[in-house]
Amino acid sequence: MNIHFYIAKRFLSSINETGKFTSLISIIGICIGSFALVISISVLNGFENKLDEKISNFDGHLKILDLNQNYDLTELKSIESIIDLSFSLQRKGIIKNNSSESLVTFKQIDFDKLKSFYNIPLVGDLSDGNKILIGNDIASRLGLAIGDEVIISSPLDQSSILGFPSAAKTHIGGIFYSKILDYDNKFVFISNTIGNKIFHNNSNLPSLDVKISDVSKLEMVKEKITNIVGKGNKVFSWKEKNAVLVSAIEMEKLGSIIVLSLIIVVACFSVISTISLITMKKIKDIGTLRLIGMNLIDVKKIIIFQTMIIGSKGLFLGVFFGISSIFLQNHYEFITLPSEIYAMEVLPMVITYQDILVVLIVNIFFIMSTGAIGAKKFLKTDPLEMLKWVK
Amino acid sequence: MGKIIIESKGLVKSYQNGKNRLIVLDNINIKIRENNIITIIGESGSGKSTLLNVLSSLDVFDKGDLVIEGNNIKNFSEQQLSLVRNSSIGFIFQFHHLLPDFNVRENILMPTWISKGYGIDEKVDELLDGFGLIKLSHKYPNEISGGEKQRVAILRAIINNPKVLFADEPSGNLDEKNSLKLIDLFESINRDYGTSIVLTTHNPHIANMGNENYELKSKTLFKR
Repeated sequence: MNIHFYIAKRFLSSINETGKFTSLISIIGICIGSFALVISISVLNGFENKLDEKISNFDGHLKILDLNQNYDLTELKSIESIIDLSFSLQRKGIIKNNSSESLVTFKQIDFDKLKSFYNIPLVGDLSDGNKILIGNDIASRLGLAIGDEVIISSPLDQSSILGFPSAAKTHIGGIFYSKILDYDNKFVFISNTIGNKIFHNNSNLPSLDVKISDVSKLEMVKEKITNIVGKGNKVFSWKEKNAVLVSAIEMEKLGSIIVLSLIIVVACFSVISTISLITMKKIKDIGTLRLIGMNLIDVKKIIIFQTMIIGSKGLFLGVFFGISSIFLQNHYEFITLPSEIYAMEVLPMVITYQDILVVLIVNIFFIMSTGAIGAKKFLKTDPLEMLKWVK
Repeated sequence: MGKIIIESKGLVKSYQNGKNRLIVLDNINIKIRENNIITIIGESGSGKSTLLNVLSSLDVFDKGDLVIEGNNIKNFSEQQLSLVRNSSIGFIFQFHHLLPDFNVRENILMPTWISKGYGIDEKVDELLDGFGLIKLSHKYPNEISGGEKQRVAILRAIINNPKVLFADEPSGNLDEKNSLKLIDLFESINRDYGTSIVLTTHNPHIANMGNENYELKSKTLFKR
């Protein structure tokens, strides 16, 4: 054992009732700060994960642009982590019923992949490829319900020399409610059957949506795909596509860490007063240690260790309670959310080892700084003065 | 004549007293040789404790030179001074200044732990046995008598084999019988470990035990 730690531990074990009380207050302060930090990071992680899950269910984790529908997918399928692939074609168009119309984005997909790849929450029956799937907001805006007849048209695809846009009469087979960004107000899923009827202009090729099993390998998979398809086909992830949103989440996460760290900073003031009180009580003993050959650096280390012992109790308790709360929430789902607002029923909480490490580093940095500041005052005192203080 | 361990040349020590400086030690010249016992007698308030503090590097001085084991410590850093206090000098205080949170054994070992690291326990059992304190080794300072505290303080002061042991009024709180025992103890330390001893006292009987006896009078030292 380290001599400084040993002395610090002994000094702390003999503190009086007042010292114990102020130590307890400091421990509670650090505990609350680190608990809040863990919970806040886990909630932001949870929302980020849910967003990742929802967007990847809509667009896949990666998208390869302008890939011919006849492209041989064997090599891509052999990449580890890729679990599914789906061709899709997006094009602006118009949907109209008897009374109103709206500009939308058609997403042509293989309807067989609707459950296996896209997995979007919906109501209705899409076994019939001649029906379409529209977003909940589009349905509300146009007053559409399942079974209603609509006309969809693609102005980019002219069907005759007169310049009329290519159009098709169809029925609403289902309504989806993804609650992602403005997707419910923007997208209409159509099957290959309908797509082939209205999309004649082959100027833009389909994209290949890619779904992977491990999000942490996103960049690695992207690099492998780029190597296979060549640089002519742009590959990008959902994060790149929604760069503003992702950077906003990251900024919010950073902001939370900074703001909640202020709780720890405030708690550290309490630690400084506790350490000052304890050191004041032990000033004679520190003077004795100085007189028998302990130098100022060693004394400083003892005071820092005292701070670390008090602080780490609060820190580990806070992290423990934080992790326990996350575990309980994930298993018992005791915090629910209004699903009509958040598109999820329970508060998502996810914490990683890296996040815990960040919390520990931030806290330990503040606690050690507190110890160094607390020690400063006593290092200026002459050892003989320390003895006389008590005399 | 033994080798000189500590030598002071023209030492002056003063304190600030309001706007004036009060000189308490003036032109102190003394040579502490190895294997020697030096006593310093003086009236209360004559500056005996200050002299011991200055000679043992615990306190700073205004003028002059203080050479310890060939090194003038005048410009020593705090770290160098700590090393001198830990390895070359032992100090026994009138009030013992034992650490109340540590038992007898730990108190004695503290200087060794400071220099060599926690856990080293060389020599301690031999010392505890030799000074009849082995039964007290796990007791805390508040559980032992004043005389026992004094002996623990002495063992703490000599555990790192210092060249010189300073004792400030060591018999101040002891009765005649225990004072005599203490003198025997110092003589045996000097004889068995070759440690030079410098002690201050106002007890004339103890003041005569040294090979060299001094008197601190009118701020300076006189050989008796």
